[in-house]
Amino acid sequence: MKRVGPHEASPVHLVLDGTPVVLEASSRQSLAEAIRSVKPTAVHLGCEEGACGSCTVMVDGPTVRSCTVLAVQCESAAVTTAAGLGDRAEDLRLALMEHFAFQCGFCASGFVVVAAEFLGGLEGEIPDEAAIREAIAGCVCRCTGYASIVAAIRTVAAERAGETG
Amino acid sequence: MGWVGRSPTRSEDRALVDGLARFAGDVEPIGGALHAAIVRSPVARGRLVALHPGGVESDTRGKDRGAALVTAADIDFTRPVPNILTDRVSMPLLAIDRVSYVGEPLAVALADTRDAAMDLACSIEPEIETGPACAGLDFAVLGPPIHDVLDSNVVHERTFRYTPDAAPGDADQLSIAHDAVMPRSTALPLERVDITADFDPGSGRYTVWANYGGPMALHAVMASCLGVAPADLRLHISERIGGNFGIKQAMYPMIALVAAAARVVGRPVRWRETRAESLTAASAASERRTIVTGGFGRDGKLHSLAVEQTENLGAYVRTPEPAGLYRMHGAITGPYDVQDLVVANRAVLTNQVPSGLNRGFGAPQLFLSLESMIDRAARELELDRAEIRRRNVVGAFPHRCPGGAELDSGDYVAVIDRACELIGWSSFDRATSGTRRRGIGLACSVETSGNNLGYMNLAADPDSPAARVPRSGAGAVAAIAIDPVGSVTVHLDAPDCGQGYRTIAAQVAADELGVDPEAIRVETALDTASDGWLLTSGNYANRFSTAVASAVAEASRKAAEKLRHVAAARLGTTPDLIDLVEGQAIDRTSGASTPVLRLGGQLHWDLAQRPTALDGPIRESAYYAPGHLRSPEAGALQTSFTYSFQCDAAIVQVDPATGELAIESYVSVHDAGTVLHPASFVGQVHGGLAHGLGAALGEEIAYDEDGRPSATSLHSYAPLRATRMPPVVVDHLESPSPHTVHGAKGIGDGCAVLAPAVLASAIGDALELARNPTPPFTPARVWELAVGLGSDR
Repeated sequence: MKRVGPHEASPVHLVLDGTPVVLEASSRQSLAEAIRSVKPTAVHLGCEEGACGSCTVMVDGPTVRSCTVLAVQCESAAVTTAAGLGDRAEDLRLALMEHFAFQCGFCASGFVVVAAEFLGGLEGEIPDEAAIREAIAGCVCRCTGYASIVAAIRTVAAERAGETG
Repeated sequence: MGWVGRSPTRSEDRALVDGLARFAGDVEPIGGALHAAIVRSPVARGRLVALHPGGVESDTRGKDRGAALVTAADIDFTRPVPNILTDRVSMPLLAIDRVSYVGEPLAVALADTRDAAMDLACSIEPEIETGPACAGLDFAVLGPPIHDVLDSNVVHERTFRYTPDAAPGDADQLSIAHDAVMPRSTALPLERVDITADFDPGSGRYTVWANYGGPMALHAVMASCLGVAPADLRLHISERIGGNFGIKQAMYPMIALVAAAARVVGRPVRWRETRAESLTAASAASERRTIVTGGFGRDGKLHSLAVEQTENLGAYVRTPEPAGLYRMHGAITGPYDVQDLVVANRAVLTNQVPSGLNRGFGAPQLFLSLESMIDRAARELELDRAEIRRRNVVGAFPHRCPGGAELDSGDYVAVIDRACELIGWSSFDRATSGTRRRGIGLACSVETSGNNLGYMNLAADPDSPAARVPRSGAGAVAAIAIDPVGSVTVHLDAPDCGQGYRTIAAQVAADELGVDPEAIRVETALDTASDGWLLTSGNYANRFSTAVASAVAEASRKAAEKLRHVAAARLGTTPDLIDLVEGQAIDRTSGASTPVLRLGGQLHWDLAQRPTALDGPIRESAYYAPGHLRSPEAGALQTSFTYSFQCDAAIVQVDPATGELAIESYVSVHDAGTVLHPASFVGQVHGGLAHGLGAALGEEIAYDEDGRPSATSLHSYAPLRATRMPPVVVDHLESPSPHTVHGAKGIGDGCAVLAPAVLASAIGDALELARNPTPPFTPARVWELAVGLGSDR
């Protein structure tokens, strides 16, 4: 295993939102900071201690809090942020807008990714409200009281179930 | 039908859902900045002997040519934060000789990267001779002063008596008191403070970029701290602010500190707050003891009210405090029609972080005690809790409150009735299938919008010159311009912190210009050097729907008037016959039309088209400052621009074995006048409720006896999550305000204010307590109540 000192930068190769990038990251640098060095709006940092969920991204599939993962741990990983979900999440984005899901929206970068993962795992079923709330409980929103976000996710789940069913 | 009152999709949102929304931390406003980390006091009280350099890793130092430590001695050109209560103790930008709360800034560590700056800050070892801390409100009143130069921690004490012309004739009065201490909590916006500052030694001017939301009155205070004229402190406020809820106000001494550090090192400096700093060292909603005593007739009529408030301001009076104590002053009687009033205010200092703005600033404390007292009166008089409120709320408008507020419009009984209907008040059945205890509760409040800054005169010593300077106002300024290609830009004096100002201001302007809101760009970024703003500008105190939206409408009307002149000349008619509709200026007589915005653009290219009375292309600004706000007289203050009314009700279940509290349902009914954007209105109600429920259910900034804060991360300060929110029903009635262009009032604070009182009412009912309990309603606390341990905290 390659060793990197605390203040040394070393190259980390990622496929970030579908684009290969090489980032210079020190051994202490979080994945969130590394992503923000090239795409500063794609990930927002609310706590830097893994509690608010705003920095959620997908790493080779499942979601992680990018503030609690080191960039150097993600060598060669495919990382997807809210800015890289592409056309498959357009129904989600539109539903979030139509339900006025966000206010300040600082947390949106995390909610969009978490909701996309949750909806992607449903396989045609329509979740009840409690399941949606459980799914987004890792993300903190201080503006909305969550009802608008829950409603948007439920709408997308119903629409997708209708299409597949 | 106009755009106001509809809910178009928000123009803010596309970038948000695309992951492309830029916040302060996402841009680099100036190159070459050093990063700052703050060395802070680890103890609540003591004598600062020295700051010892520690063992920073040598490779950091070797590589980092910018590494520096800025101490209090380095910024001796700065001044402490002035306040209106005392000259003897002022909050310094960096502690000098003494520390007075955990987290007090001691020095600024600077380095090329944030990590290196934090390493440097962590390596500094403060040598402090610790002293006994005062971390409690009651001890502060009686105990020795926390600052040696003071005789007492009580830095403010003032009593106001308002006696009606004729004393009430009811000799058979029942006196009901309620005493509650509302604990500290914090606002917790997800975006933290981000400040970048630069000093230009050639001009002696500072430039700052920050996610500061106002109040802009504090701009002059920051300049005073830096010892420069306000014009020499140019502040750029970011276009988007990631939540605020008041607490970002508290960054202003940090803006002055970061700017001072930039001057010392001769390079731009950037400081990004950590979450621990935002929780422990920024600000908190004040802890306050409120004793409310009501004198009731046997018919349940409230004849007199006494309110005794003791506010814990923390270690220093940080301006605008003691505003929290005075924000509700004129309307301290709430929605109730009672003229005999005594208000006794006291403010104390403790070894805690200075208090400051929080959503509903200063009001949750009042309504917790006032509404709990009304509940208790209902129990004593064997009246229904809704009925006693119906008998006492104001019925005719405008209504002059003894404290000075003039409640402008409403149908308070109708709102109470609606809330009762929605929650099922009269058919409520407390029976449950198991051992759980079921209860129902309600509470009412008036919600202020647009604060009259004349409160300062009430807070100042009546014999001091500060009390004699006339102060009044809650106004706004807005500007509108049409560029050479016919694009419209509206400029606000209110930074957006998530409320959708861009969307709503565009609706307002669109109605006046007869165009689609999508044709209007709204600028919420603010540059103090080039944009219009007032002392009262900013994102706070519900001022958008009242002052800001009114100013946008007035500026847009000026623009529309000019457009009518130009269109009339073009179409060969007179301005009064021109209608602006669906993007066209139409001659009502002939039906001839011309695209309205193109006319505005053409004025740039051909000034000859301007009517003689007009002076150039369209660039209009308007102030909206209500005439009914005056400087206080005889202790009476018209506290705010308008007053909304609200009644909330909730049904809860308590498990007496575990203390688990479940909120079955929550109803919130508002009368906030005309609703500008209904979806945003509902969003504000839900968001305010989450804020209020968070504070009620356990978001507490607690201190141990040594003054150490318990909440240092989001793991120890647990914000409300989606799984904890109850089902919510929102409704509204509309009694337009006579004081605003659209009849709109404020909505942002209401549920944040009332939720603790509503839960106290419902839990008190479920457990059949004689007195409503005091938050936070944690399982441990609710269990104590259920088993009969200490009904008062």
